[in-house]
Amino acid sequence: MNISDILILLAVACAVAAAVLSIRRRKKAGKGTCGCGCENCAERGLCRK
Amino acid sequence: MKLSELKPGRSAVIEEVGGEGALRQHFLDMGVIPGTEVTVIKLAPMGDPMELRIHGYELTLRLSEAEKIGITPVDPKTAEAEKTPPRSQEHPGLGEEGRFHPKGSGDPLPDGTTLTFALVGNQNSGKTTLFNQLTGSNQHVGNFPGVTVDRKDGVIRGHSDTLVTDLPGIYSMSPYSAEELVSRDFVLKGHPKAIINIVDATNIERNLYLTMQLLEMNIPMVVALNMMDELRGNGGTVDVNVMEAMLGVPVVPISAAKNEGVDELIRHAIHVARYQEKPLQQDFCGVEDHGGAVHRALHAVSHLIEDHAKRAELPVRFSASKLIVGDPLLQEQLELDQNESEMLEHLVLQMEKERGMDRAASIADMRFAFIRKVCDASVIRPRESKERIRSEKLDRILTGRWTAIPFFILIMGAVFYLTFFLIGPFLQDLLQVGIDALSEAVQRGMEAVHVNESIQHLVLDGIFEGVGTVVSFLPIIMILFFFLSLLEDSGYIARVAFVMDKLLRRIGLSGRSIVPMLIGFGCTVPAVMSTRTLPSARDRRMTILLTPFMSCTAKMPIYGFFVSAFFPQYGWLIILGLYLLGILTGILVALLFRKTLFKGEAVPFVMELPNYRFPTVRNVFQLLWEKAKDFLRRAFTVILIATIAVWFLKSFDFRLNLVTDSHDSILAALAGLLAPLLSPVGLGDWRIVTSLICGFMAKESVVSVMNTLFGGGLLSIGSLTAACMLAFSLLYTPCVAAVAAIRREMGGKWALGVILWQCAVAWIAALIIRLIGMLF
Repeated sequence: MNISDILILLAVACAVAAAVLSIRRRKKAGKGTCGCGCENCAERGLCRK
Repeated sequence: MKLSELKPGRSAVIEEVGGEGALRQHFLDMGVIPGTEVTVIKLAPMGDPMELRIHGYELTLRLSEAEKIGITPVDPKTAEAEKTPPRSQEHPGLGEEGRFHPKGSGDPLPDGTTLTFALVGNQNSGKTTLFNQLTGSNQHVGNFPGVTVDRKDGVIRGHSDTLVTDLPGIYSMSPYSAEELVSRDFVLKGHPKAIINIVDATNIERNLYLTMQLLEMNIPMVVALNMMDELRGNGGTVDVNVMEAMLGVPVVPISAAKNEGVDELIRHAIHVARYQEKPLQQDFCGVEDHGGAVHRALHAVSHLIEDHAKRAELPVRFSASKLIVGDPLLQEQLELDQNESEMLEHLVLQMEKERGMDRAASIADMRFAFIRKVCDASVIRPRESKERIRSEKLDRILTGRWTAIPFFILIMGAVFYLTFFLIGPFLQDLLQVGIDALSEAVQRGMEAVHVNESIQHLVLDGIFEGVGTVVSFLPIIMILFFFLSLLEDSGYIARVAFVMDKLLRRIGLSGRSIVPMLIGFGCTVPAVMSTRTLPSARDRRMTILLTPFMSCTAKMPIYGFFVSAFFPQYGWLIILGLYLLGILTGILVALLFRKTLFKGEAVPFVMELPNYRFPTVRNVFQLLWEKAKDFLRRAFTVILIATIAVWFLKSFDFRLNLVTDSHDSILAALAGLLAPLLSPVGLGDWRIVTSLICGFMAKESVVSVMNTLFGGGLLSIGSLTAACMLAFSLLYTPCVAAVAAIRREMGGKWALGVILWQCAVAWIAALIIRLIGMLF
């Protein structure tokens, strides 16, 4: 495994961590991850009703 | 004579309103009361329902409901007779410092108290537009009664100690649909510090009916006269001073869409809330009106229940009028003893005898009588608004007897053609070129620095193939939402409900159910939520169970993926066929439900038809921006994680060794457990099973997972399996977001039922296709 492999894997891991954190943060804030409005994000008017 | 017998273009005076219960109360609340003039505008293309004009607005009723309304035909009133010059008077100065208490004096609420406001008004009166102006938020607004189906909160710009709640539109405080209950409960139990009552100035008589009831709540209130620019533009106006004096609350003319008068409204609203300035006027019953029968009954009942109302923390006047009409919720809350209940009944019977009308009609008539007085004194009505004339011209075609359905098919056909075959694919190809170029650049870069082959596969076959394929569908989804937004904002969707009512009744639904169904072509989640505008639980449930059969945009990537691989020469035919298959299955399921789970008839079709309006560029693009943001967020969160997880599971075995053949992977073992269930319909390949399972998280991931698992070997499954896969993907369980929405509306058992039921329907449909395919 060379340094570029490690860097790419780190980048992918960061992307996944960011995605998981984003989902968790939005869920905690009562927002959805569904894109078109789960019950929570719909309730807050983040999506089309 | 019955209203159902009145010919289009003819007018009549209502003599009696039949029916019973909530529907009759709804008729009365919408202004269908004895003594009111009504004009039949037209019948829907299939002869039912009918469109009426009453109190200056358009209402739709089925013939079976119109049969319950007794009338006497008359010549239509001339506009001249209605026109009364307003009296001018000194500005009462309500809700302002200086008139009732000098600046700095008075008895304000303690500093730090959050001033809570309820934004209340009729459906389609511009509440959400005003809410956006007040709070600076970007809520979606539409030109269809019932866009807001749940409450939303926001802080007024520049006033951090405020909280304004946008409530679903209601016609009265007698709840008729679920959304109306939300509003009533918030005003009654949420104890807002003040109410901002938004009144559509172009439809003032009907809007003031709700105002009368809000005033009875004895909560500080401001009336925002919205769309004043439109009223003035058509030669009408309102003498605000006179109206303010008669209503006893501040009245502020505004145009929410143009942000005119909103600052003044905020000043008044904050003032009445901070100083708790309650309405000066609550006693609308005239002492002289019809011998004062209603007046005496209302006052007698008010005294009778005063102690109970105080104990229950309910406004006395509001409780008295609701008790007289027999509101069961109020009766329960007030806990009257037997003597009091009997006394109440005697008082009401006496009122009915003296007034010559039943209790509900007497109270509604009393309110409309006061409204007429207010309007006669303060409103110059426009002769006929430009918007109305424009709407009538358009309606001659769009709801015309012979033209409505062809135009509906033409419009929807054009929307789908432009979305899926003209603009959408062009933009999709452009985006795909960009994604491919980026992918190639990344590949060259990784090869240049000798990145491990497995990691290259993860990045290129996993992330770029999976996420990239899904992202490339962004233009198509945006364009479909763009057109749906135009149709809704223009007011056309409401006409579709009017035109389609008779057709939908054949499958046990009301015309209003067409709206969630059409939204369902965009996304099932908002479609399920929009069923709240349907007034009966039966119709709501049945519509919710049918909307997932309408093919949502998230399934487009699946269709595009399979069609381009297997049926490139029949692309549009296959996609059109899938949409029709979804609709056909929905119809069959509806007919089945009608005979089993949901016996009975659809609820009455009593709906307001709004004028056509030009959709605002801001509104449409704001919606598209929100959709694009949400779609991309989903692609780079849920779908990214799912794609990487699938790549991991298909690349490693249970000992976490890299596998050379994905048949030995963890994923193959797990999906293999479910494969026997899908084998009879030709979908027993573990890779297909895996993609279908991932599709439950988000439909688009079916494509990304298949891309990851099959690589370039997709064609090996054969065109018959592809056809079965298309049908199964169309009909099987809705995604987790839609199931969550269904669970919220109907409960966990129903949500689970939907998952199992739709999988069964999809399985049967795929089996039929497989059997037919095997014949050839």
